[in-house]
Amino acid sequence: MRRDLIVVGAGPAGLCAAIEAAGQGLDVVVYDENAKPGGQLFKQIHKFFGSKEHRARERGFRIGEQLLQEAADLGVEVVLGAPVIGLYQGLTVQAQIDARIERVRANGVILATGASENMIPFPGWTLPGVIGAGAAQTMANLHGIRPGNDLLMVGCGNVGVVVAYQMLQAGCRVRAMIDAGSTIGGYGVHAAKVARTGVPFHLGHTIVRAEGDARVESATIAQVDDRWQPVPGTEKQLDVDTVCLAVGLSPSIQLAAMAGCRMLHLPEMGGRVPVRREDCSTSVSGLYVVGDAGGIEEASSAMIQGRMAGMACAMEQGFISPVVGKDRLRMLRDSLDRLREGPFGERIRGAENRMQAVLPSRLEETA
Amino acid sequence: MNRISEHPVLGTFAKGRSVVFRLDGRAMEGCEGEPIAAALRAAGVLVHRQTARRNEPRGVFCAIGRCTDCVMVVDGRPNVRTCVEPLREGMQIQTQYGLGTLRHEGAGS
Amino acid sequence: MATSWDAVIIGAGVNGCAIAYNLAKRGLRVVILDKTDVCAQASGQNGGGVRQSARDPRELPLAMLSVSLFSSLAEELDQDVEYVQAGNLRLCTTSEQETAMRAAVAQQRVDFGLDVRYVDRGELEALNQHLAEWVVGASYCPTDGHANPLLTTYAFARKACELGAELRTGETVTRIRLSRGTVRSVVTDREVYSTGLVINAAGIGGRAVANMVGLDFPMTPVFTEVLVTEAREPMFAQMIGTASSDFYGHQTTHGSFVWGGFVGYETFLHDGHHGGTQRPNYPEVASAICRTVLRYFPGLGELNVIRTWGGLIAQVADKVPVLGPVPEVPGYISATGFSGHGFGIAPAVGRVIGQAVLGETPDVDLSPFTADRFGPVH
Repeated sequence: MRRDLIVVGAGPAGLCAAIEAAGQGLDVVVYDENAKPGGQLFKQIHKFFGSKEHRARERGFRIGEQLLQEAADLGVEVVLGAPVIGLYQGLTVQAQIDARIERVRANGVILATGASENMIPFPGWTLPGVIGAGAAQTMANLHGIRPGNDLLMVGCGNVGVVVAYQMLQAGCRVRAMIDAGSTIGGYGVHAAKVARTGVPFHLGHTIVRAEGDARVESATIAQVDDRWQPVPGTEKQLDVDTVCLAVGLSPSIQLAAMAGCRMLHLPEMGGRVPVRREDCSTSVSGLYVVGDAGGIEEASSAMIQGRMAGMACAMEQGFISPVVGKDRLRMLRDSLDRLREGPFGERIRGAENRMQAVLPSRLEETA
Repeated sequence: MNRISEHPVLGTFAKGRSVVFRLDGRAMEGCEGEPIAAALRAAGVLVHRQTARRNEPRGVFCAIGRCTDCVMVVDGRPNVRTCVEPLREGMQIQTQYGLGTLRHEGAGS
Repeated sequence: MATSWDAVIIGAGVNGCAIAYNLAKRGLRVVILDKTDVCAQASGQNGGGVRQSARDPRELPLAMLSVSLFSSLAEELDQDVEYVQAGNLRLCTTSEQETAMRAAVAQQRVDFGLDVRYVDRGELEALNQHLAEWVVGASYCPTDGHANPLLTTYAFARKACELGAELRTGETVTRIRLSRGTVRSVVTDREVYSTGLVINAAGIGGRAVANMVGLDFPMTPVFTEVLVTEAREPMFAQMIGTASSDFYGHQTTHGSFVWGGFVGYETFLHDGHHGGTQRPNYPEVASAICRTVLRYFPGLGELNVIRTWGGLIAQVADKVPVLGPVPEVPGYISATGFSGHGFGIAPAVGRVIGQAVLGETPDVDLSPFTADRFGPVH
């Protein structure tokens, strides 16, 4: 069997890719390993940033509901409980559905496989009660279960401050926020909300160990010196039953790597990533990577990237004229640029320049 | 009790009906369709398994089926990722000690 | 500026690293060059068999020497290489296979004194309780086993470096210069290595390296694939193969099963345009391995496959390597073309190539492995 387009991952990036392509008449199937679609959108109960064009002030789970409806209206087939276990030569996708392996070929494949949480090892890091910040979010916002009662949040980036705020909303006590850096990297509005509830922020601190027999009973933090080493004598023991690690994300690149995409190590994108042109195409013909799978950003830019790849696929396969398609791609590109204004965007642009040296843009080609 | 009864943004959670399952023979209650790990966490259980080499306790880490730290023996089948496996009525769940053995031993017999 | 070396080894696979270790141990100043990395091709992708059973008779003496070396390898290299010597079972499912296997086993006993015998279903069940009913018997070689190829290769590399060897990865050999017909230097994309000895252990790149000194032999890259299952409590420790050679594998010391197998048209899968760095991948092979394994071990059906990998093996027309000095090019030594079974004999290859380099008589006769055994190519 052959489809026009296979999208892997039904999160914000994947759904937008499917919607954009299906809107141009492509026959699209989306595979997702989870029982429910939406990726991480349904955990994101906070309001989005940016301007109205980026759906600012809307909550993630509402956006998720709208995207699913749009996809359904356009006839996109979403197959759930279907992990894609391989991407082979000739854009051949293998998905596992229960005990069956489904093998489908496609004229285009868009990978929107997201990211996985990083961890940092320390004595006691394997104790039950040491969890990813995303895990805390999943437990509270998807399943309605508090992951613990007294939490230590390790990491004050966007994920750290947003999840800390959401844990407070879920009724947990956040005993402390720590970060080895000297500044709060996360959104000011969420950091301020957390701080206003009286949660102490210990900057320049790291976790030394988690203590307990069969579960976390306390955790010790300490100041770090300029070589990130704990300073003896500055240890503080905190009375917590849960340690949340919000220490970054890594792009889920396995399928792109398996397909043979050229890769680069770009720390500003979260590590090793497939090299992409600005329309999210890779070095493998017909293969696109969008969202966190191509480099860590956030849901708003993931959605625009998805639309760009969907449109580029439609153009590549002759569903839309290059003139109209490129106009749409430039419009999306401008929207992405506006979203990336500011210091974080600066880093992304630096990474894009390095990638462009490997794979030159196709947008600037004459039609 | 770790269940959130009223959430300021999400309101109440649409959960499945209450069902009885067993952990190491002990009867417990959870909501049908929620991940086994969620039901266990709500019931105050954090230790899912003991490791093969050092006999150390392990529980949930990623909660999205990625890390496999939360695996248990479910209805006789070891290495089941409890953070993504839906709870069903009457499930027999066991703490996993080590790697687990095959369910159907001796295929030739 | 050229640096000066006693020997340059091209290829950081298990055989290249084993040779480097043996030469460094004997006091030679050697450098290992690899265009990608240690274990990048077949050494990082094989099933880990340390097997004498069903070896080509030309290779069996090397395999027997290797088994004797493996028993002390961990101690010698200060590294547990997960060597398990629990025997090899080659499974038979028909009376025709049984007859042929009994004859082959008798031959190996008589010709080489190998401790191998045919076990019937009753004795087989005592050795392995998990076999399907249609398996009628097997050859059993108790001194066979398996080891971890990555640990073994890195252990050789590390020990060689401790003894003064240098390992340089990400560096591509572009030329071998001869002077008056004798090896004089090796040129890479970075440097010139002045040396009188070059050892071609370049695996699938070995034919191109041979071409650099005006030699050629019939070798082609062939795609092969292995899969790994989730870990379970130990079930059996033997290395498994079959009379019909349709799959092979074992349960590792940490509990995963490693199975390799074939679809039957591997020779035609590789399109030859990957340049040796990009691993090809084909969707047909893993499912073929699963189906075959389950015909012999039906109880394993509930195991999840957690990973598969494909790679290229350097297959020579007659399926044994090209090994040893080549008299027409003094200073050039071949150790390539292992045809998919080079891991298990690597410790022996390291030793005999070391002996040949030093002008000693190798423990194993290398005359069946000469480069000119195929006759003139042109």
